[in-house]
Amino acid sequence: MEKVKESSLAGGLHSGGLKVEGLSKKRRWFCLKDISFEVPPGSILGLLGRNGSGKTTIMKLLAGHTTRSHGNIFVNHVDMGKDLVLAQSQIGFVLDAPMFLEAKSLWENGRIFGRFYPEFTEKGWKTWLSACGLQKSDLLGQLSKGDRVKFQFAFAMSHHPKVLLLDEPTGNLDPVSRKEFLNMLLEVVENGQISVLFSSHLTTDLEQVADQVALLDQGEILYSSSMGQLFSRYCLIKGGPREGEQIQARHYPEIVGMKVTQVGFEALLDKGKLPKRSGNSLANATPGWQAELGNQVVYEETDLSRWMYYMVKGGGRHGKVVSE
Amino acid sequence: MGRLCQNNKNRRMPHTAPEGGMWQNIRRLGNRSGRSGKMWFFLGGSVYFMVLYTGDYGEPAYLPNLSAVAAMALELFVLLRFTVWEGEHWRFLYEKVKYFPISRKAYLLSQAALAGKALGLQLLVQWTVFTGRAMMGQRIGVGSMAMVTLCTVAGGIWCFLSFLGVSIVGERAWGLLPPLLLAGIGIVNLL
Repeated sequence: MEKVKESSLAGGLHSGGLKVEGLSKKRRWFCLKDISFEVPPGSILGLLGRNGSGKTTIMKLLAGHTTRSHGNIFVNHVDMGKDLVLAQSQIGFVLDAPMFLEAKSLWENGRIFGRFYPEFTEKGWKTWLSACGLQKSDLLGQLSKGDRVKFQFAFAMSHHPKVLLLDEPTGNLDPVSRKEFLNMLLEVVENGQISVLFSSHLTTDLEQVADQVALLDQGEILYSSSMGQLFSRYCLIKGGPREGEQIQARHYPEIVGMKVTQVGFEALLDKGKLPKRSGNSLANATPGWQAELGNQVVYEETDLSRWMYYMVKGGGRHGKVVSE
Repeated sequence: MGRLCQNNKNRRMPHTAPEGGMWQNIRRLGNRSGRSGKMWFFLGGSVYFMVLYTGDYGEPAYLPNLSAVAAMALELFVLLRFTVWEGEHWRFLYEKVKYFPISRKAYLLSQAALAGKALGLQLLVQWTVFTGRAMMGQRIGVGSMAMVTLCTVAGGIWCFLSFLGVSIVGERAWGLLPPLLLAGIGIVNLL
């Protein structure tokens, strides 16, 4: 299997932000294996994966809540293994965990936990609560799930983090709040030069905000690259059921995954695996299936949802696609 | 929204000094016992004082056992400050603290300091009683005094370590606390 690697991920010069090297975590029922990536300041890495693929485990490891088995985590040049408190003071998070005091008001929660952050200010806390449309006297335990996300985001922003960890933050937000949240996120990332790790099942959200994407499956990074490179490398091909059966029978390596139904087929094409002489260009490529089928198939741009589906389903059949 | 992101160095909170103020901030983190808590503390202390003063030191196991149980109760009373009742769960603050830039060592030491203070207070009450009885001419044997003190210290330390262990393991280990305390009473009886 060809290896694909982007310079901004799993290597390159460390310029602040978030850097993870060979992160591993062993548990009885689950194993996170050799996770490496880098999120430069002002950039958003979208973390995709199925349920149980290890996204939340990565978030908890990066938040400093869980101890890792192996690997290094650098938060704005600070080695988390050497100075956990300093590293944590530069991290903001939106996680689905009972980390704040449910019986206290939003304002009190901010005051109690904000004391541990050097950059936290009451003025900033008040401003961010108001910006997120929250009442400071509301009890945390009485907030809806969507408002909890806003509360955590407001708290995170009020202590000026260098790294922001967002674990499925938009799943419980209504469409209007989701749009507002994403707009707010883009603005703070750009203005505050924050590195964001954004895990979500909502691929449309990641398409809107992420600069890079990493696909996680069974505790391993299956693929990682910038969004632009992903969309230029992969595309969908579609055609009739007969053509689909022909392609399916030959097991072409450039076809990452495919689905054949009675009305037609759809497949994910990896242009990076087209024959070398084609220069990875469809126009010049003459792989077996294209020579046979000619113009009987059509090409379409893929979206993250279908890309993820074929990568996870088909990636296992053809082997692992990793960084080059 | 852009103005929200501007760093303003003058906005730092005066009390926010993560290193210097860590202990103070950790102390503020725990639940403070209210007036009712202090009342129960005073009431319990008074009853213990009277029982100890009028107790029968001829019975070798009675007062040492009672003191050990009192030490455990007192330790639990002060350590509950490091827990919080949320919805349908008792939660350890330690579980929450792990998400924030709070030194875990400092946090656990602050628990130990409070537990030590409570134990010290109980020993002070005991030795006040012993001294008082000596002054009133009701002397107590050195062996009895030593036994009461030893059982108090053993019970208190056992209770603290049990709580510490359970809080480190997490919420799912709450059920282990009662058997551990019972085991503690058994161990004290072996002394």
